[in-house]
Amino acid sequence: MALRLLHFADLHLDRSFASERLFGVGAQRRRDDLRSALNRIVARARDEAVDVITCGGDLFEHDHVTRDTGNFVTQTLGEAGRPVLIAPGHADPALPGSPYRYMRWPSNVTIAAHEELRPYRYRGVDLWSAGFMRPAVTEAPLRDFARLDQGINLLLLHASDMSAVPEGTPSFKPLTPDQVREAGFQHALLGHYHDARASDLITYPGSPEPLTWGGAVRHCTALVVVADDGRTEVTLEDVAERQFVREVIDITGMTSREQVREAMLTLRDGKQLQGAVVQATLVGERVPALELDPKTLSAECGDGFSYLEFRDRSRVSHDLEAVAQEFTSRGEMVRKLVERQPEAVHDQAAVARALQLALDAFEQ
Amino acid sequence: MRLTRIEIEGFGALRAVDLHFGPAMNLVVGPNEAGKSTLQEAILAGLYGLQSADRTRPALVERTERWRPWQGGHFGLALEFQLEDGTAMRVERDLDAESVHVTDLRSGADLSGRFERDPLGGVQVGRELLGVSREIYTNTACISRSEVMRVEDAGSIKEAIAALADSAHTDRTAQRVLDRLREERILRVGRPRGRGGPLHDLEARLVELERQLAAARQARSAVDELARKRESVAALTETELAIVQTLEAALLGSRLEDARRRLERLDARQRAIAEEAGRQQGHVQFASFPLDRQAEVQELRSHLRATEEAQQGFEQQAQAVAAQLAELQSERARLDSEAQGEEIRARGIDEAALQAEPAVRELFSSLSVAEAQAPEAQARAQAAQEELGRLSERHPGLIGQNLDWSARHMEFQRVYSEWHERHNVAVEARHRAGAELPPRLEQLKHDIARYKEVPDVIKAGQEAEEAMRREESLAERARNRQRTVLGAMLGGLLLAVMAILVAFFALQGGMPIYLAGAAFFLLGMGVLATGIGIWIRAAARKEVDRRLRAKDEARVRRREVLHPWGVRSSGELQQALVEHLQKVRYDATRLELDRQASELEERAQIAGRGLRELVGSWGLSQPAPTDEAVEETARLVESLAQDTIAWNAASERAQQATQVQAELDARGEGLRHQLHSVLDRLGFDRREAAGAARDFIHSCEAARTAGQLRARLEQVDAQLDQIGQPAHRAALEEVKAEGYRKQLAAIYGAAGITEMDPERTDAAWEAAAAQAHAYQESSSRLEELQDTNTAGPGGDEGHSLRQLVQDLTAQMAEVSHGVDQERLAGFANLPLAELERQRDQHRAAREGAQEERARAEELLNDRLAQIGDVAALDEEITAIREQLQQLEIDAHAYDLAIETLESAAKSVRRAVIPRLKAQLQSQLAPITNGRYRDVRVGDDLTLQVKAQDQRSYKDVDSLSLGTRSLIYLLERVALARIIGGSAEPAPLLLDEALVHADRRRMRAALDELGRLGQDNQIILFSKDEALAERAEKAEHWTIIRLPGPSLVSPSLDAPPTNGAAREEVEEEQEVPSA
Repeated sequence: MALRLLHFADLHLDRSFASERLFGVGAQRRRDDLRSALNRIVARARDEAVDVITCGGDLFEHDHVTRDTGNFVTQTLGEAGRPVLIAPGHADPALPGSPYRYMRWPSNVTIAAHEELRPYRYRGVDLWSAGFMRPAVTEAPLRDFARLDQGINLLLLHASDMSAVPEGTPSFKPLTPDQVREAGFQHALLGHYHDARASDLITYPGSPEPLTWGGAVRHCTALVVVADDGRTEVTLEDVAERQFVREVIDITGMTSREQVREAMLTLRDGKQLQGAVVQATLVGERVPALELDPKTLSAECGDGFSYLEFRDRSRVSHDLEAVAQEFTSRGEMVRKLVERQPEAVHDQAAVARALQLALDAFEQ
Repeated sequence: MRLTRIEIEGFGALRAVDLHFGPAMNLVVGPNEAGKSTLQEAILAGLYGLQSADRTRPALVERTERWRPWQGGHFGLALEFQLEDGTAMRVERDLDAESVHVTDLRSGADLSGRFERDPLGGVQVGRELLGVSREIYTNTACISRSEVMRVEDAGSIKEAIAALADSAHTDRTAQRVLDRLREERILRVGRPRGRGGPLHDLEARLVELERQLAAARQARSAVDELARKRESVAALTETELAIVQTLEAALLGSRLEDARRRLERLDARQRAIAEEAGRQQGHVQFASFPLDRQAEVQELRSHLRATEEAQQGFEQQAQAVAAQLAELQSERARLDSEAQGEEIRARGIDEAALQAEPAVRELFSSLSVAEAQAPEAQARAQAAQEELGRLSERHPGLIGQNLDWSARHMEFQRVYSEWHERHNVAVEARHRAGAELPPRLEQLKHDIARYKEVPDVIKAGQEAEEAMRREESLAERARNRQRTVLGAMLGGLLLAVMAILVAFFALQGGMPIYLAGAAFFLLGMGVLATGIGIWIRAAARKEVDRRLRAKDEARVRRREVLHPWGVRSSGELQQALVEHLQKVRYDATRLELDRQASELEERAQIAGRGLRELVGSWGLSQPAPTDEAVEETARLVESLAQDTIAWNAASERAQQATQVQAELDARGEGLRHQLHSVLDRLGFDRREAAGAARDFIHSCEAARTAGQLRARLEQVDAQLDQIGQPAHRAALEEVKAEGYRKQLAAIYGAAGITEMDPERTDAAWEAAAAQAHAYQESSSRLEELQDTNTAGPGGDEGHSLRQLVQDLTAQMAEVSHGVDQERLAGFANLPLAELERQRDQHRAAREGAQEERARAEELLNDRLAQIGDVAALDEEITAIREQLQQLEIDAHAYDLAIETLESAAKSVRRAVIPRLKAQLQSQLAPITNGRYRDVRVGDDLTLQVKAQDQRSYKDVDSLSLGTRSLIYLLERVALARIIGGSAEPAPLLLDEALVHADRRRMRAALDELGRLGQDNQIILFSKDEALAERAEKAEHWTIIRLPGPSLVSPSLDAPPTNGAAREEVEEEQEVPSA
């Protein structure tokens, strides 16, 4: 056996979950989960007795990273007891202000803070790597690469496999499996795509913890075993500890908070969401007597979840068509509001809200 | 829509019920718990099903369970009705299975598919046919006892009607909703344009967070900058270190090179001495050549060449200007001839004459101008005189030197304005006062004095009328007592008759003694009652008579008081008084206007007199006091003022022109005199000044032309001299060249050169001089080299230099390891001192860079500590922005809802009020026994009524409870019909709605409801049997009697029915319904 290595990527420490509309305690809990994931990765490397740990970029988010997180990373990787090779990605480019450059890294950690591919040799295997020295690199890394005819060569990069780009994911450092093969690499250990996937030539371990809501994708580390003859065996192992899901609960017909709680618990048990971070959106029409306070509901239904957040998008049901037929001030008001045809989305929302508020006030 | 029949299989307490409704008025009567409310609910269920406003399944289940038959059995009913267009339908509802079938009663066709279904599958029969939801139908067309009871509270009618008009509910007014919306807005968002509240707080928080985020990003930028600086400083340190090392190597290399050069120079000197000695031997035969005369020879040869070249140049120039020379000579001859001619014309002109020429020219010019201007001044004077004549002729005797018509015009304007203003005011006042004089003042005073006593008369009349009313009221009471006592008296008589009969039978049949005693007691009581009744009735009759007499007396008093005034009641007198006061006010106003008009007319006349006197004092005819005449005079005065201004201007122009003419004549004479004296002083003819001056000027010009020609001749002479110079200079240069040649021949001879050809002679001299010069140079260099060699350190220098080179080479090998050779080569050309200076400079730079790097690292750590948790900040800002966006939408939504609801409430009330008023207006009089006839509905739906004999409206809350409740009932019914719109007229379900009505009002209400029944079917629910009795007496009423609960027997199979005809209902009164 020539080499055993554990590959991970896209941990995105200190990530902001604002884009996921997750704030406060929930977001902080997710950030803590990301740190825990790094500890689990290092522990797994020890358990698997790997020779080297590789990171395919986006270890942290440059825009948000704190010094404390930098210290945590250096300490955790320093205590790994084996070499660690990191290829900075687009979220953690090795800019002058990056912890990659201003911090003192342990001697076992190597940062590939260079744009051109350079080899790093571990037990006779050359790991060719390069890092992002600026946030966006669109040049193809293997376009003019001289073919490697000697030895065992692996590629470690934060790059986009253009043969299978996930929807909505921007492309950086584009490459294809053919380019990897023609350049003489036995395998490419990449980062950038957050769902784990592995083929004969390319492995994405995915983000160790889910970074966006939902999605039935895997979040893994890749155990790579390189034989003496250069054959490579890749095993993806799930590493995520929590589910990060959004659920929708239709409360139409429910008349008490107890029924809502029951629905939530049924959902938890049915979908095995124990320990998950969940954002539940209440929709449908509710009876006027059913008052819902999302915070109170979260407190009442939070058992078994790591974090549970409710969002109330339900509305008190009103028969607009019937009310609009009334020859009353209320009916006239509804007719006037319904006849308004605002162009801006903002105004449309305001009109709908005005209808809801006014009719609710009539019902109170 | 008119309900015709309801069949109830099972619904709450009702089971197996088949009831037929009349087309207009129905009265469902029965005791408490008879099932009136259940029947009402069953009708609603037939129309709308069991679904309520709460359309959730649990609510439906709850209602289903509530109305499930108490005694078991099938849960369902069927409702039949007829529409306005004659269509008859039957709605069958299986309330267990929640199934509905609608069929056409005539054709039997299934009409279920014609109706829409609600989300729970119910067929919406009522909603489609009546145009309103169940909730609204219940709130508008169903009037309950509790609702009518609420009328007891003040303001409750207005509140209830407003709520119905606003929301079709009895307690939800638009105003309350608006208040609630405003409160909610303040609570959730904040006041509009306020500086507090959640929205404002969130905005402030967002600003603070954005500031923090900006600071964090700034710190992040600073980190980037500092890290970059730190790296560049580190790179600089490394660079400086490398440079210092290179400079050290360069220094060693420089020293090595210097040592090597010195060694090489020593060897080269030895070789140069030997070579120089060999060269000296080659030139030794020219050691005695006169090299000291070399400079002299060179100079002579140079002079000779220059002289020969100059000679050739002059000769060429002389040839070139030969033609020009001839031309100049010809021109000179011509100029000389012309100059002589001009000198002849300028005879007599000397320097003094030329100096005087400008003065003569000026005098001559001025004289010419003065002579030219004189005719124009004369013409202007003549034109002004002619205009003066014309103006004087237009107003004979009125325009002259001392008549200031402009001032008079201004004064006239002032007086005229005053008169005109007063005149107009007087005319207007007269117009207002009218053409005819008002009634005589004395007559007016008399009327006023007479009407002063009217209030007392009215008071007396009112007192009489009050007494009449009071006596009438007391008489009515007495009549009532009389009627009551009549009843008592008849009862007493009846008792007495019964007692007599009992006593008779007791005596005849031997009845027990106690019965006989009772009979006699009754007899006694009856006689007593009859007696008392007769006595009281007689007293009451007297009382009635007395009151009627008192009333007649009061009437006579009123007649006595009011008759002199020609009226029959105090009200009429009061009206007459009001009309009189209005007339007095009118006459007084007219008198005052006439007085004012007269006063103003007098003032206008005074002003007119002043104006006429003023005009007369100016010699003009006095105008009549009319607008036309005065305006004619005004136009004349204005014309005089304008002509006076024109006369004055023309007079001034004539004076000015005459003065100018005189000035020009005097000036011409003076100029002529001056010209004569100047020309005389210069010796010229003085027969005619202008001609003499003109000749003098011509002579002066000729003298100046002659002078110019002479000057040109001098220039030509100078040019001739200049052009002739080259020929002269060529001759001089030839002489000088011959002298130089002779001197050179003498020197060459002394050096042994005897060649005759000048060029070969020069070459031989140059060759011999070069040889001699080389000999001298070799000798001197040899001496120098020998001197240098003997001045050095001698033989030890070579040895020590070789040792030094060896040492430096070894050091160089050590230092140059790792040094950039290209840079080292770059330093190789610098001198040693410069290298040492640069080395010291770079050493200092390296130390400075190291210090700067340490500072940058320190600052970097500080900035990193300042960055904080940017992710959390980012999330909080996003969260707050989201909340702000929602709050802004809420704010907009609240404002929109408030604004729209206000507008909607106004427009609905604008539509409702006139219709409500129109419907109530016709119903008010009957239910108030004719007392109130006018109704007014305010913008806030406040209801006010006015009695026939009253002038102002009074709030309906001030009426009696019975009247109020009836008005409310009618108003509610009217509103129900309005809200129902143009759909089928809905059946009105009134549950004990006449609870407050006394007998009279009840009768009136039944009559009114009867009339309403022509438009809307009415089903009145009541437990009041008296009401049923009254309804029976009225027409078009169908009575449906529901038995009380005690009579309900589940064992009986016969269903309670009433039939459609009134006769059948009457019969069924005796039949138990269940």
